[in-house]
Amino acid sequence: MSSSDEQRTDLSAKLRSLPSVDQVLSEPSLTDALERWDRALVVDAVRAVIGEVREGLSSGSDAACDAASLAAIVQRSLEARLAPPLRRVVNATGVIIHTNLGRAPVSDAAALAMAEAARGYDNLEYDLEGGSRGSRAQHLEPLLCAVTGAEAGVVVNNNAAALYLAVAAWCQGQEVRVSRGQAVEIGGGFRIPDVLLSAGAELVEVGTTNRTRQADYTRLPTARVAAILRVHSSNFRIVGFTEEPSLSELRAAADETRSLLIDDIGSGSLLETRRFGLSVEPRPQESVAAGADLVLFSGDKLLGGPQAGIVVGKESAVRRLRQHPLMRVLRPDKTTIAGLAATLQHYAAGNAVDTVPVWRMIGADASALRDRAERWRQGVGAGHVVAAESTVGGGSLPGDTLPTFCLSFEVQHSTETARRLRAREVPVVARIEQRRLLLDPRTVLPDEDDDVVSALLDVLGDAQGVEE
Amino acid sequence: MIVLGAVLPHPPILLPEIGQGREDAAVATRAAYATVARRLRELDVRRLLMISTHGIVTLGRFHALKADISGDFGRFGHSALTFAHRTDSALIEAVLAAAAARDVPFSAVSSWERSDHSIGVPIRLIGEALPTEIAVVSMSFRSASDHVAAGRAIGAALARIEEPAAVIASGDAVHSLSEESPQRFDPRAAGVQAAIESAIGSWSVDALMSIDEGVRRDVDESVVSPTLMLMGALEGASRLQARILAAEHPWGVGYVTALIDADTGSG
Repeated sequence: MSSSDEQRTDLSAKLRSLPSVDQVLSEPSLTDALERWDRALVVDAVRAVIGEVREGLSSGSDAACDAASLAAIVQRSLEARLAPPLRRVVNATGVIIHTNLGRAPVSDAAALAMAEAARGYDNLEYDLEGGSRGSRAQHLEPLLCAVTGAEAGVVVNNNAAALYLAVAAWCQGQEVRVSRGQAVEIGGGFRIPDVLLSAGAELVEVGTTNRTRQADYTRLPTARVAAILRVHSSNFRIVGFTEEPSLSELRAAADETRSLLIDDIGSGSLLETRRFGLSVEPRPQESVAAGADLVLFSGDKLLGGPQAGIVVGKESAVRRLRQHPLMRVLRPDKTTIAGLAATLQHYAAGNAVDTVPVWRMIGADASALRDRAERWRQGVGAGHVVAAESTVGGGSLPGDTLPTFCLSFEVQHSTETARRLRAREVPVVARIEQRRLLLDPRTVLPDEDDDVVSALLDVLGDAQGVEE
Repeated sequence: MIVLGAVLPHPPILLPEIGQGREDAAVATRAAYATVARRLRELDVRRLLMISTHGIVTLGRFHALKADISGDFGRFGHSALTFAHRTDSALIEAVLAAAAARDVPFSAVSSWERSDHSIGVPIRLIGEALPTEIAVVSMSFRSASDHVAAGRAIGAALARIEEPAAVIASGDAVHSLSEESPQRFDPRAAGVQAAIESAIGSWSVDALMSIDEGVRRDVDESVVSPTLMLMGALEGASRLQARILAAEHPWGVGYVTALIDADTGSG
């Protein structure tokens, strides 16, 4: 028999020895999976894995092919495909509004309100007094007006949607004038010129990249201009020889061109950021007071609520948004309304600094953070507490940092250790700075300290799995 | 007695099932693997200890796996691609005893990182040349000199065994050689890579230990610690000849494959 004949015979023998679907299904390690998932899904997964192994054997691989090994692969495959995709993560990066980690954690009250809204019925679009159909848009407006001083307000899915809606409602087929330095990409490929174009408006850039004056907005013919748009450069700064007109100057330009003044402030902040040692973040109430017709900002950044795009401003301007067909496309669901209302109530009550997690984190005292890091160090029995810097993140306050203290580990191949921390059932996301593994208590929620310590003990500690 | 040492890189992309042709970029490393396999057969190696960089790696202790070895490459998108090997329990016991006698913190564990490709890749590539049972231990985050001491314990354990034995240090060198590296490019990486290659080529513990620990961390290398353990194991060999079989840097990562002919039996 030639060697190729022998190989074929060997392959045939291996293929014949592959366990049947029933044999794999009867493996004890799949008992839980069969109880947890629909049997048809498990059977499909077993067939897929057997097929994959058969293909591997045919192409020369000697993958494991006993029933127990295949069952283990099936179990992991089912877990990977069917387990809940969103998992709680401990954010030890020190980036407070971490877009990749779900941005702002909401307050306890907001989380409770969202859960309550999700699990039962409510008056989302129901007038309890009249027993007739109501409007979902009515719920948040009084709170929005109370905390911003605006005449009216409306909420959509996110801030990009808010801009899209505002432009679609007011500027279709007309010009929107934007300072050349503000025709920017604000993240994730989201570019202001593209948004304006897709919403049916024509972007007209005015001024220069670094210097734009009030007169630049009014110099061109005004027949087709629908709005003057100011865009806050959330995630970058132009410094040096720069000039931008104030909002009141833009108001005057809008009046002169008989157009709408839209102020997209990005994150925005209802609280004064300077009191926390940070740069100035635009405040919606100031934009309203300065005469902007529409002020747009995010719900899940410095506001500290669920994802939402918030529009406040003059009743005459907001009304058209509320009535626009796109509003139905972009409207928020009941959990968002409930969470946002609870968040806004913290501001209305004047206790947001103590109740909204984002502000608690921003306002955390450095010595308290050092004490927490030191407690972690004692719990782990290793590492060093080092001075470091946290950031606000989320495209807000670029370049601003907050002094903090981290637990630091100077280990070789720190990326591998960071990966292991992420691979845990409750992943702990640390940051690597100059190859040091840093864990920042500022962004770790108060009840997650044990998660951090146990993760570090499991990943770096010496007691894991030790038999003797 | 130890008759052979080897330093092996372990990129999973070396495996054809994962590389899908890209492994050709590391053709010298694959050829070097084949040379190591051939040498293991030529010397009729009966006992073998592999030093892992991705097993149980902790701050204070070294670890040895008591259970049989099994894992997969699920972390690299190939969960059906597995590896397995029987464990040489007697060798593990001997290493633990030698370590205890030298106050080297070494512990036995029964479970291991399932995705430990630092042992998975060598087992997949040269598994047929390995003895039917092998021992796996891991590096730690202890100091460089502690790694040499741990290696000495391994060497002492193997010196008492009359059968021909081998020790493999599994590790990749720097991970930041270029913009395509898995880690951010670091201009010091090339210097560290050269220093590592030179130290292994000249088989100099001092040269390897003189590479700044902080810079090593910055360029994200993982070959120095297991190699220091191998050097400790081969310390005092009556005969030792190290040669680099391959040194190449595809994908912005440094790979060094070295073969060390040695004799620790009559020293």
